[in-house]
Amino acid sequence: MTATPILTTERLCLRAPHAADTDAILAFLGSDRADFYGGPMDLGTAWHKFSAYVGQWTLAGYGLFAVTLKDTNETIGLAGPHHPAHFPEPEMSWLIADARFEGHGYATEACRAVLDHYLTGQGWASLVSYIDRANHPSRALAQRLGATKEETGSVPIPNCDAYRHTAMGSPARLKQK
Amino acid sequence: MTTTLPHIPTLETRRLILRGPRMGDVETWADFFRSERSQYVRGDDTSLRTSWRGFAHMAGMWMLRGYGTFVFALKDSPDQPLGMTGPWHPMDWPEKELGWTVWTAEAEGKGYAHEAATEARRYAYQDLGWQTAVSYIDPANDRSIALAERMGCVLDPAAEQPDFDGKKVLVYRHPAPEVLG
Repeated sequence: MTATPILTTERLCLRAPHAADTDAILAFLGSDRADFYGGPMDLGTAWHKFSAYVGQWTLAGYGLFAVTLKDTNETIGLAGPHHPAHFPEPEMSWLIADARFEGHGYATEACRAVLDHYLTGQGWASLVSYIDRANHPSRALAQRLGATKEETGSVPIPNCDAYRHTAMGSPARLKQK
Repeated sequence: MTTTLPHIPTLETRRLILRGPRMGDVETWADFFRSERSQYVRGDDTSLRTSWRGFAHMAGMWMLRGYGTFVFALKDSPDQPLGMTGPWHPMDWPEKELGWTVWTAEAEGKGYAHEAATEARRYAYQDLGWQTAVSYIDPANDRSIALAERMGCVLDPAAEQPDFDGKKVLVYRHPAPEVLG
């Protein structure tokens, strides 16, 4: 049995994804909102992609958490280290599944919890985020989280820049200072 | 706080173990995926990006459906994968499948796939309670057709096909659980 962490914040609960998250994530991947995630895609492709996100937990012991609202138990997105075999390191990734959950600071709250868990709690040295140059909201979020743009090094996804999160820049560490 | 991922059982046959997919299997899988030997079970893209996603999908089906594909290996070398077989049902497929692949040429011709797939079918029928199962096979895949026939499968031309980018496959239907006893 593989134990996986549950992270809680003021408004959110983050846990390994399971079948109950399928509808929310497949609806996202089938929509225009999935533009920066290879979408919109058909049902079979979306299932394949979501299943691979979930399967990474089994294979690696870490992955994208399902982000759920504590109050309603609704699945509102994913956040966590995505690590397909062609990436040189785990990538801190996130998505908010539906527009009605945007603009509440949920992505920031979820990402801070994940970064604190791995960088401060688990002692990972850093996490990278590959962000499409046209994805301005994600870039703004990375910067809000304290990530800095890498000026050198290769990026395994076309049209993306790498942003580096470190414990030094993470919210928990800043609070301790 | 923690929660546990669904348990993947381990099955045994005379020579083999059938176990859940592991990170250590990815290299052998990716080598198979890049080779001609996988031509009947993939599209043209053989990149690591695509083979990884296929492998992680296998692992993820266990989490999402509660069943999935086993990796099989010799009992005395459980970390050296020979292939995979097991219950398989992507969301957009019309019905449940029993699939198999043998990953290296050295593992072929020894009856391993037959031994593993027969146990996987027993698991699907007896442990999961499946009432029927099909295997989708490329019409040019002679070895898989021979295995399906050896397992007692018969062509079911009326069965609905999944969408393999317009490519037609043969649908072999497995004998019903009550026939196998």
